[in-house]
Amino acid sequence: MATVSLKKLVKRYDNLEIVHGIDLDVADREFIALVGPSGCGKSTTLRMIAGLEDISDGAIEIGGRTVNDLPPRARNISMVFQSYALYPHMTVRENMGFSLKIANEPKAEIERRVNEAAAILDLNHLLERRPSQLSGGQRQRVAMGRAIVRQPDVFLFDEPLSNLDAKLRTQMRTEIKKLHAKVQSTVIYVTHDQVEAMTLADRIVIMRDGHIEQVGTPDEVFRRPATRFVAGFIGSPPMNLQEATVDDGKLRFANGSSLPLPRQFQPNVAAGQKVVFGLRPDDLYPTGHGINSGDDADVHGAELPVSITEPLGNETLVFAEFDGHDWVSRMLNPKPLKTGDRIGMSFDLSQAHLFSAETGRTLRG
Amino acid sequence: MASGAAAASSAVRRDSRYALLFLLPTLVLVVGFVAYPVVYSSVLSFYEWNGTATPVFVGLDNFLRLAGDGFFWAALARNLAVAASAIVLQVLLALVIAYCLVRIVGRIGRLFLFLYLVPVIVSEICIGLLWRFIYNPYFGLLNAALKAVGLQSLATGWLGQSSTAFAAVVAVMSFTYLGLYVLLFVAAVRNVPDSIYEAAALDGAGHFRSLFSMTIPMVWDSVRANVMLCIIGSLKTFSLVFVLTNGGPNHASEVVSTYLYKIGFNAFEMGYAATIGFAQMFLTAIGAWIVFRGLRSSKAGRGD
Repeated sequence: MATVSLKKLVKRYDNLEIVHGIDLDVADREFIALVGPSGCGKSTTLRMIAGLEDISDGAIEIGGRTVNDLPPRARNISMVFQSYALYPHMTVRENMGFSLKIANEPKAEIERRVNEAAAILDLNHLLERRPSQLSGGQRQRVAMGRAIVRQPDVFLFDEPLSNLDAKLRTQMRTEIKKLHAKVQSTVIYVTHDQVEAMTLADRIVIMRDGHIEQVGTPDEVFRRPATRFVAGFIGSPPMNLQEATVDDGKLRFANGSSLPLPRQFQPNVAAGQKVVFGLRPDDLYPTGHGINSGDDADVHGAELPVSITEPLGNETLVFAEFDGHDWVSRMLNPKPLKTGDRIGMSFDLSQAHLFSAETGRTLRG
Repeated sequence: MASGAAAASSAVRRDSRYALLFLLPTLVLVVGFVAYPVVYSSVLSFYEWNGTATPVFVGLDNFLRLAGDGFFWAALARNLAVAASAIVLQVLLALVIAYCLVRIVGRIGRLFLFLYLVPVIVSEICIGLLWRFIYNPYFGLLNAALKAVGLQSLATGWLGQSSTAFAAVVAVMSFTYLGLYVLLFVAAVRNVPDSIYEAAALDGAGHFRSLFSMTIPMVWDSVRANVMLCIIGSLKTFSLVFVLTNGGPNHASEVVSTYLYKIGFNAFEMGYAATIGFAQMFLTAIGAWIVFRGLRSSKAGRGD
């Protein structure tokens, strides 16, 4: 059993507080991704769990045991570093067996477990090499091998893929997912890449400025973002977000344009309230080139000028001007468009989001 | 093919002409101040010369005398003892201190580093004089300190007793040169990435393990270079011995350089002094080479 609980966890450097009392419960065998922009405190949080940083306040429990004052080696965790941190003077075999050697495991047992891990990660043919003789992807696999040899309760990953090129990153992402399926340990995975978080994690923790903004499954954080920040952070291209004022069943934007107030929000807002309206590119599409996820009655049409297009092959991102801003829309079965063309756009308001302009929190009931 | 090769070799020849031009000033200095004295002293070692009269060629007499000169061999043995003590008390100790300064002490490590460096900055003559006061049998700090903690039975004339003079000199040498090696190792230890230590800590390594399994292998090239420096320094050490004891009492702390100095400038046997110097240079080079070959080069992969 390896649950991980963070209780009112605080990190201060001198007088600067950078993690502000976060709470989080990670279930046994769960894959949790901590995601957020640089400086949001996600790596610091991970390093506190690892024991590489002191805890200023609060508590960390691993498997129900408070580990605040335990050194890293007593926490039965292993960590994969962004830089891999392989020992350059040791072979792959020695790198992977180092922790077992320190623990005074018998030689045969070390041999067996290193070979087992090597087999899982397809490293058998590299065991006698040194890290300098390996490619980036191979080093990454050795780092993971070193982590799994110890059979820890919890795996910690600190941006493990950010030193790889795009293609390798996709490949290693799949390998990490397979690895988790095989070894069935609890994983806490830090990344700034929302795609990695979405594809890998059972639940995603979105952090910002040392706070947790939202914890949820990939589907929840995508479909039901709790805050304006999450709405803008998750999803690519990002959600269209514009400030508006509620006015007589309508949303009035700064330059005078308006949209109908989405039905699902009608009970939760008052006339004159300042809100932030959000609509994903998937829910804003040139009429006839998208999918309406809800009721036809909730689709609002408008004719808008095209300002720029980004063809991606199977689809085209169309930036259309509405209320003086470019709104990005996703065009399926694309047809050629030129700047200045006026096209009919569909706003699927059943999928729209409204956030309080003041607090940034969702206005969903 | 052939013409290409010829063009390439003429380009190489032109390049080496320029190279020679740029090297000329250094070459002149090296020839004038290193090569010429070495050659001259090796020539002189075949002569008997008191520094003023015409040198007299004596063939291998000086070398035969050296082979049978017990004072010389005893002095050389002391040089080797200095080298052995320096490897432990200077290089190894400095490595441990550097690890502590970088990995354990943290920010105020810089202050300690400065303190270790003070003796390196101060002239060896001053340090020697200072330690003569410390070792002074009547009003020295050391004996006073021993007395203060009730160990006056150990108090002695440190530099004046045959039994303690050499050890006392070795202690001062370690004190003087330790800081230099600490400085060199701090730079090397800092180059080991933090994440390596963090990975080792997660793998279960304490400080002792980290030092031996991570730091030492990863700074092995520095270890080799510093051991080399320390051996060369130890085999030709002079100024501290000269100031502290001048090799005495009764040759108890005599090293090759002080012996050479006495032969040359007290006895004015320049030819024999040159022979000693020549032998010292030769033996130092051989000793350094053996040790350098003995310490295998770093195992860590290059180019990464």
